[in-house]
Amino acid sequence: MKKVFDRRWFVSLLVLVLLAFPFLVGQSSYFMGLVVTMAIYAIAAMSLNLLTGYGGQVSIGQGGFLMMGTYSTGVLSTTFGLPIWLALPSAGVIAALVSLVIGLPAVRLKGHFLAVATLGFGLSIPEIALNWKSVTGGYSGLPLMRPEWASDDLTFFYVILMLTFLVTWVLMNIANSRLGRAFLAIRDSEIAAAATGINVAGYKTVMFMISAFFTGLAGGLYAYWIQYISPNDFTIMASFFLLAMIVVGGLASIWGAILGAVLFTGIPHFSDAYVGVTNLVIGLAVVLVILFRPAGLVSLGEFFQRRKQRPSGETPVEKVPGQDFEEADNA
Amino acid sequence: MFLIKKNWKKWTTAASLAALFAAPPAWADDLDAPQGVTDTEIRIGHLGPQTGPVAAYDKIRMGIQSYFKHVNENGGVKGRKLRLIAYDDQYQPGRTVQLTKRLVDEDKVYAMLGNVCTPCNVATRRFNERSGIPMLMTSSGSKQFVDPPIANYMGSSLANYEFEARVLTNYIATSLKAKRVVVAYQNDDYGSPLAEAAKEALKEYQDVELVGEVNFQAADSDLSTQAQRIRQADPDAILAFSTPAPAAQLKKALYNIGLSEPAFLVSSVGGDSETMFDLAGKEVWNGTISSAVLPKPDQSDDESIKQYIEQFGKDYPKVALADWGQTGWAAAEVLVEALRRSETLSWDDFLSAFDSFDNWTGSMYAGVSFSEHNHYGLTSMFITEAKDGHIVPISKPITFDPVTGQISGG
Repeated sequence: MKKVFDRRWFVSLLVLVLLAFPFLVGQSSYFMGLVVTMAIYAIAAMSLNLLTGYGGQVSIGQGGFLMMGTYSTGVLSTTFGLPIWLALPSAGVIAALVSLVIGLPAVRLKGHFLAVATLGFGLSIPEIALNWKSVTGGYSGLPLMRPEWASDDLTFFYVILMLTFLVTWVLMNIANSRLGRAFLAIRDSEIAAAATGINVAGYKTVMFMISAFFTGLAGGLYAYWIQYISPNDFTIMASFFLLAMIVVGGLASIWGAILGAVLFTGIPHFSDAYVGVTNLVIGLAVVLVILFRPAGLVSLGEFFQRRKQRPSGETPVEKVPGQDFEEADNA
Repeated sequence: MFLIKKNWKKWTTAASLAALFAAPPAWADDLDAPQGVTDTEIRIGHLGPQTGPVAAYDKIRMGIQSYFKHVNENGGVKGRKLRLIAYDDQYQPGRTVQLTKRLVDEDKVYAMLGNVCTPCNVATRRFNERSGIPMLMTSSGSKQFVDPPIANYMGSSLANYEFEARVLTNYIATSLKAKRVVVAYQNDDYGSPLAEAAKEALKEYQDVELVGEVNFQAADSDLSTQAQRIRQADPDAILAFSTPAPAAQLKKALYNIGLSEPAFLVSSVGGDSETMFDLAGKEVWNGTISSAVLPKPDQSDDESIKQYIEQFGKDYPKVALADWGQTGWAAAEVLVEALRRSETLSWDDFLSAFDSFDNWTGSMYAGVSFSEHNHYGLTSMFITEAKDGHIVPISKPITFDPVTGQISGG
């Protein structure tokens, strides 16, 4: 009971701090941008965690869906004149439909083969964006305007924040639903899952589509925030970073994905002033976490809590990815 | 109250985090002075890739840093030291937008110098025009930043792409008297605009025919397919617009299939460096024609070059002298001269000081000119040839008049 109270208290405080954030930083466009980037990467990382952490499907092409989201939003908004409230979900739907095309054959692949197939996707999207000049503008990119009501950064900050809260809530519910339990069953043993009546290929496809939808949406939000779309953003490096975010934050944990996104987006703020240090710090963080906390940073909280509660001499219990969901479900 | 007492540790952590983000930069600017100018320093911003596949452009930052050090050691400008604040945008426009806001709104720099990457500069243009921050010697040859003139954009540190393409095509048609030309280009924000400009410029010569077009990516390591396609087109001259590595790969691939007869011309970015002899091989690279806006350190007794060799060589002993460092140094020379010519250092006064540059030769550049209608700054370049391990000039300065579009000299 105390644990539930603690979590609610923490979430409420976090939401309050985020809502008050623009005023804490004097409405600084840069600091708001920093939080917005964290929020956008958090959506993408949570979506990837649903696929990789919960479902056990390793995708190294998630940056491709982010880029698809940016271009879909840009083309729908500038070429077809779609309003933002239609362009954003449409970007998600387009990403989901493309993931269906990739997902149908890819779900029959496993482990390394699936990773290579998604890697190919992540590599090809920037090339397509660069060469499909009539639609994407090629190397010149696409400028994008926010609607009049969201033209100032403060208003759009709140739009992105609200959508991030909404997506987090939806993804948490998916993770704790029958769907989420099926994903975990598939991750642990496809044969056992199939034996209990789970349509493995079907669930994997749905997993891919949900993940791509929210990643595409995140890409759309990014496009509207930056107001410029180019084939240089969200290259294959973005896919690697997303993967690193969920590994460092914690696989099969929504909070882990958020923590990873905040950490990896926040590190450059402190390290950018020192030449070439950012990637070094990020690389070091990944290595240290994999070595010492393979269950991710999110497991640190539980580690300390257990140490506090444990009578001396008792062996600590290691956190298993996916435990988060079980605990939350039982609460 | 009870809640606060009970959870004082959490409250303290949350408050510290909030304070960390909320803390304004600890600059103490004079109230009357423009942004970024204090009694002791002038802060200048720079954005470019310091890591990643195009980290070679970081030498521009090194060049700026080195020149600032040289100026500071010699008394600074108007009694103030120059301070460079540079961030790594990794050649990603999204990061450039975010970091531009950091430099202008948080670090409160006075001006930006030599920002790299065309799409990154496109992405930030709207914000910069609105903020009015002086954008100096942008490291892009794209016309859109200088023509038509934008009030707060002054000059580019590279030769204008259109100008360079016209100079090279003119050389093909008039000096080499080639009739069949193939254009080979890197398919990105650097190579594509140059190729388009060259194709447009070739139309001016009725007896010169464009017989083929091939493209490649900056990361391509095997260009044998492109070389075969060039051979099928049977050209007299090959005009390549590329960064150094693929330019070397292309010439090597042509050499390997025995196609050394047609003249090989490369834009300055891919040909104006003596490291090309290492990348392609001395025998392969010999004879390559290129263009340049800066003389090579070992081929000039210009005072500015001497200072560059001494200071840059001391600051970055492991970095080649004949490289992008020169570009950063030269761009910084233009900035410092404009600061010296400005009386009040207000943005308006500083920007109008540029109009007094009339073929100014005090920097490493052959000549720098600005006027109300000319924001190019750099309007002179010359043709070079690769000979026995050196890049040597083979023409006099060729000058472009932005107002009339006329090219003269050579």
